[in-house]
Amino acid sequence: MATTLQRPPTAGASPPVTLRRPRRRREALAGYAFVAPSAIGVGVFVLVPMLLAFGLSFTSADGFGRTEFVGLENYRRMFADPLFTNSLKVTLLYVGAFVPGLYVLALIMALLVHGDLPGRAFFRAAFFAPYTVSLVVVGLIWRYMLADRVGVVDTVLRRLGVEQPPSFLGDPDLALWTVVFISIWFFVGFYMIILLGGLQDIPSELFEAAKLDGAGYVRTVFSVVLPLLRPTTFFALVLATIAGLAGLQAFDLIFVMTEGGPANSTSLGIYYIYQQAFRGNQFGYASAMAVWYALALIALTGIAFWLTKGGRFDSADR
Amino acid sequence: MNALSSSRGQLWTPTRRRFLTGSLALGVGAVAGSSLLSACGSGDGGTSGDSATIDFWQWYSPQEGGSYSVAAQSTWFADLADEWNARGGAQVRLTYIPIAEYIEGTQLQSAFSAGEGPDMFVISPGDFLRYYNGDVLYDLTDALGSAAGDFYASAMSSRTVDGRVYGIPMESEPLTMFYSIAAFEEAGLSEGDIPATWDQLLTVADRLTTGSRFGVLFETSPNVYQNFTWYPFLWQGGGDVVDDSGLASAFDSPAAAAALKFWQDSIAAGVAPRTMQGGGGGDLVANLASGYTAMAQMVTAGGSFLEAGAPDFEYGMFPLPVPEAGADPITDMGGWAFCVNKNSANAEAAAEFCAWALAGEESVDRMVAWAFDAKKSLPVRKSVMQKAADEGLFEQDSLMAYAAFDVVGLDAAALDSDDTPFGRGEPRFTPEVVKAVTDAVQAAQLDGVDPAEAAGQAHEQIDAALAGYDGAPLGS
Repeated sequence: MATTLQRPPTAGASPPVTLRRPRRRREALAGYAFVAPSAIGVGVFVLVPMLLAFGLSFTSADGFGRTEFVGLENYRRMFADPLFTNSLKVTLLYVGAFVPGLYVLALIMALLVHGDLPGRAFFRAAFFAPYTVSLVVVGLIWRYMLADRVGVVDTVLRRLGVEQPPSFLGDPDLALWTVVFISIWFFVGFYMIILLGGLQDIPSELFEAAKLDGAGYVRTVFSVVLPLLRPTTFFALVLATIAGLAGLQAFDLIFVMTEGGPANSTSLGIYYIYQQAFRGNQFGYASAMAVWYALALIALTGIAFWLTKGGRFDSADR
Repeated sequence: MNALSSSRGQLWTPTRRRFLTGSLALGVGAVAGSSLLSACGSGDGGTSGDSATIDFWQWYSPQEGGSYSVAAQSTWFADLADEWNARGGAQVRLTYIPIAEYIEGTQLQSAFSAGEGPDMFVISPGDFLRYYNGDVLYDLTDALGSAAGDFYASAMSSRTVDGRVYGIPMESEPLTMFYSIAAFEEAGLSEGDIPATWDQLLTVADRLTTGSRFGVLFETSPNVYQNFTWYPFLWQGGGDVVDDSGLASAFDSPAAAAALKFWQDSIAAGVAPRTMQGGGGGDLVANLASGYTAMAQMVTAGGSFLEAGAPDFEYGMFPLPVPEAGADPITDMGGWAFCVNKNSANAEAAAEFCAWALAGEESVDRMVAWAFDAKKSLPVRKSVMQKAADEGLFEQDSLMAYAAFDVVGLDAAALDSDDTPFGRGEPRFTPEVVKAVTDAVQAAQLDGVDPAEAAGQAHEQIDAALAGYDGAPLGS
């Protein structure tokens, strides 16, 4: 069926423009062509591996080519495995500290560099700088800085009068929080940029109006900035949660700095999955855990979308 | 002419049609190009026959730099390959994998998972069962022939299943203690203060500990190497991980609890660190020569790494301390072995290379050179040991003499005996058992868990892991 578009009446009325089917088809094809590279990439490198992992989760695949169907055995085993339960607990603690910590700090920094801070450009670049470094390098540098007795952090603490500085990466009570701190330090610049983008979308008239109404800085942040920043906040929190559960830093930093230790205190889910697969040759079991985490992540994101109607908080956005 | 002008001199205007056509051409080109590149990249491994290439993965050569870099070891491997290749036939190609990636990384496992495992590779006893139970190890018994009898039993046991050999050991690396002579002198200690028992070690470590240096170092990273370094203390008290059958746990023992407590005490007393420097506890250059610790545990080959990485550093060695005076200083003897991928098209040629390289009559001098000049690890063949003794090499090399006669307890007059009084071959375990032991060590050492409780938990985990196990027996 041909589509007819009525042009607004103009002087010397011209005939209506008709879009014929071939042209629509060409436009559709153009659209698909634009999407195709990403779709193929996601399909080949994300969707297909996910489906394969899902299939593997019902097998006893050992990484040497032997694959036997075991039904739900891997899933049953998962919840009887104290190390899986431990990794789950560690992951929840990590995400629970990482996501809010990251958001609050990134917001403070975004507010700082959004205002009239002298040297604003420098600070924006400085805050973002850690994000440009390889995570492996970040891990190695921090490990060196946090070394017991000889690390710069230990030395500074001693000079400040701390007689026995703690072992930040060697104490099971501290190691996870140290990794959280380093993760936040690494990511905060990136999230600052995201939130800064949201801040810059807020019309300046609103700040002026708040000022005229006598609102102080803190009141303006809570009554103007945060409500209008909700869509950006939603996006940042979802992204941070995904990063916390399955992001690169959740693996790379652990791999380089602690290997899941001391005493499994930093054995995040993603690292335990790696251990089971590549150190334990339990590819089927590792896949089952990966599927479980993926489903948990999908569920979490789904709930967040449902509660916030997809991040559209205001009726005008709907 | 403007860069945006066409060849006909008309201004180039970016229309949608042109853009789409160009994009399509780029896309097709990229796909075709990557396919061609893939095609170029495959089939590189060679096939069986005279023109075959044996891809040999290891962590020695060719390399320069790095924590465990020793030029002599790299050269030895390169010469080995050159000598073999000069004979004609299947050619050996050395592929270097960094040690950290080799031990804890994914490269080797990923290659096997993808069905692209190397033709040959080196593994330690700690990894043997992964690959044996994975059914990828080629039976080297026939290639080895009667030469098998020339190897010490302690070196062969962890590479043998039901009398068949699946890995040919190239060396034996007994664990010992290294110490910094300067640190000892600074603390007013002399050779007479060298500790012989666990208690003495902790006392001496306390005297060596300063605000910027630890007295002693035991591995703290949770991995198979940590287990390797802890086993001697378990054995010294009469304990073991599995029983004689190799198929049931023996871990819940007073000896296990005592060995766990020994390491726990070193941390609790503040004389041992909770974290390592450089490439881990075995990195003597980063940990001992740097002054991070005054004493450290490492295989005797650590001497070659120190001489290469810190040539001016003065160090001494002493046998592992024992629970009580007079007990045998039992130690763990690690070492790497050549293995062949059963699924390789060049398996037979690779097996022939293994036997020629490590077991043949003409390899005696080569293995003497590896032990004395390149690695400072002990020979695993009686004939090689005898040759070294006949040439007076032990008199010339105090480190090697110390390793053979003081650490392992060999009888200089009976080097053809299988008896290695203080040396026990590194045991082989499944990954589940390795993890259970690691968790016990970590819990006691770094988390303050009651050693007996940690041993009991590991015992249950090991038994659970072995309940349905049908692979090769564990242990050494």
